[in-house]
Amino acid sequence: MHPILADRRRFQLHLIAWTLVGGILALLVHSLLAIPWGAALVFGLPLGLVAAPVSLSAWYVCRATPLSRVGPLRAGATAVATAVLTAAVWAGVGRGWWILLRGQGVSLPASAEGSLFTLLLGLGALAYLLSVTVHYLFQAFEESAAAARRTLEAEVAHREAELRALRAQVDPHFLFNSLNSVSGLIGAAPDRARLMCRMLADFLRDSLTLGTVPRIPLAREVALSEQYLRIEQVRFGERLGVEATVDPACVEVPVPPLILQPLVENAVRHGIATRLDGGVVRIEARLAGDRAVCVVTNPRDPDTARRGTGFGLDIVRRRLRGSFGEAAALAVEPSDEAYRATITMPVEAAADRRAAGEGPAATGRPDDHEAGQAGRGGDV
Amino acid sequence: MTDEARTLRVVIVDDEEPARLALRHDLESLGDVEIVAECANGFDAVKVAGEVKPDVLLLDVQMPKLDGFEVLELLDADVPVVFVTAYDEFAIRAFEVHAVDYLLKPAARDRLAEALARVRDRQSAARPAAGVLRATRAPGAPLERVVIRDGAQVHVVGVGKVDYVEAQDDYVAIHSAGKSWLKEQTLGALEGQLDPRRFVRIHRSYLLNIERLARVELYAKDSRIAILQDGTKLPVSRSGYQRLQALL
Repeated sequence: MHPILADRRRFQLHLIAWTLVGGILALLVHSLLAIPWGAALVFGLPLGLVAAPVSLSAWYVCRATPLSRVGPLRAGATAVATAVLTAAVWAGVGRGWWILLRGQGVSLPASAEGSLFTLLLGLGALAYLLSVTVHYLFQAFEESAAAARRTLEAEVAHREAELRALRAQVDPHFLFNSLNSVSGLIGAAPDRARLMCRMLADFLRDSLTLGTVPRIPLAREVALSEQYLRIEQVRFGERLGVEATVDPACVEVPVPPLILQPLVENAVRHGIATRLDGGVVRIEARLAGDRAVCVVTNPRDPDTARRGTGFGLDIVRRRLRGSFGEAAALAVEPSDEAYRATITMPVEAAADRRAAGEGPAATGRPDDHEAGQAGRGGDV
Repeated sequence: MTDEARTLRVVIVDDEEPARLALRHDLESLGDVEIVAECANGFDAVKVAGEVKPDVLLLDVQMPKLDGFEVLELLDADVPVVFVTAYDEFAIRAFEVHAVDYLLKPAARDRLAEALARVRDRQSAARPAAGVLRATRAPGAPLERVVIRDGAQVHVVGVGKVDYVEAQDDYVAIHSAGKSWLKEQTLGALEGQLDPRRFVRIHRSYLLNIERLARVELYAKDSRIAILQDGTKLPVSRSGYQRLQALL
């Protein structure tokens, strides 16, 4: 919606402003062309009001060349060109109006037409530029409001992420299941029980630590999901297969921590666990143009009703919106036999990350973890 | 009850290996117990229970395809069941289907021993078999799949794949994609379990999946037939037609 038409007070101010322009025009016509006041006003005021709706088009000029993206030089050039063009049309209309009024017997001399055109062109261009400036101000105002809103949303989503990280530690089902596994293994296979405890402790520690920073490298995020899946592998045994591939090109891409966690949880709970012979949870991360794409796929049983997948998906969507605005998306493709969830995120420049307060903490530790993880995966 | 405890023949049913290990470990330390089989899913459990006639089934609830309650529904009524689960939300249903006991994982060994003692009590009391078991769904929630036992085989049919159900004395014939299975249940009982917005009793002997209906034709005065998408024709009674209209 146009910022001036959207608000009644702004619209009134807008009309007053253009009536003033009409008045100024009348003043100039009166003083420069020596036209009597009455005729000058009859000519000037309507012409000013005619320009009012035309000046609203400045909004579209601003939208097409936002200052934040195209820079002041291009924006300025576009504004001047549009102003001159619009003013020329206006001046043409003004001249026609002049001739029309003279035909009606208003005392407007034909000899002044040449200087009148120049006058209208100059005044029109200036007024249009003023309108562009006002619209840019509106735009800047709206952008900063949107940015503030996004920051707030990101903050809320981040709190949720922290809560969720916390919940991952105390999630009754995950913890119950893991404890049951440990309890089962203690008597019969103490070594496996100890391994399971270690994996559980590692996962809980890492998800807590990483859950508090705004971004972690994509490869670390995938490794965290793998840690989780390796723990679930103790329960499910050969029924749960895990495959994770991260394209070397996107290893360092910064992503919100634990963004994949709800997806892999769903993949196990609503996918693998519903099938007699289980299946493979696949995580794939790659670059597609200027975006990073993460895909989680799993097979599932077509006859098992699924409830409660929506909560996790909702969290992912909200966190993506909080972190990237409209630039990121989660798409799900359910079919009878399989499920696929795809996250698409913009690749933020390193400068943005530093601006977001990202310290070296997030990138400092992953290597030793991944190495440890790869070594451990096979023993379970 | 005599002092000398008879050896109990136990079947462990759980889809997770560590859980089976835990039970095996505890049972072995209790004595007077013989583990005759371990099953990793509900299908094996139904088959094995029919073959070895155990004294008790230690049965997990959350398993793929065929959950613990569905296994119970398919078992001969005289096989005692002790549920062993990580979820406490099933306790009321377990009571409704006359489970001997309900243990929460990880179960303490004393608690397991207590459950087995109850099984022994029940044996010696020689109580008549519990009544018809029907609480295979969560209270208030419609059935999501129908389980049918065919000898040692078990079929699981998602309710969305059921075309129609036909009453045949004490049985119902469940028709799905040209096949049909007999299940020991009355049509009224099954109707009560299914979602009334999806299944409508069009006739005393027929329960129809509304999604399969192609059209209803007037056959004679006051007599209609329903024609399904695959061409099957079913009679529609007058009250059945009213129910159908109300639903559509």
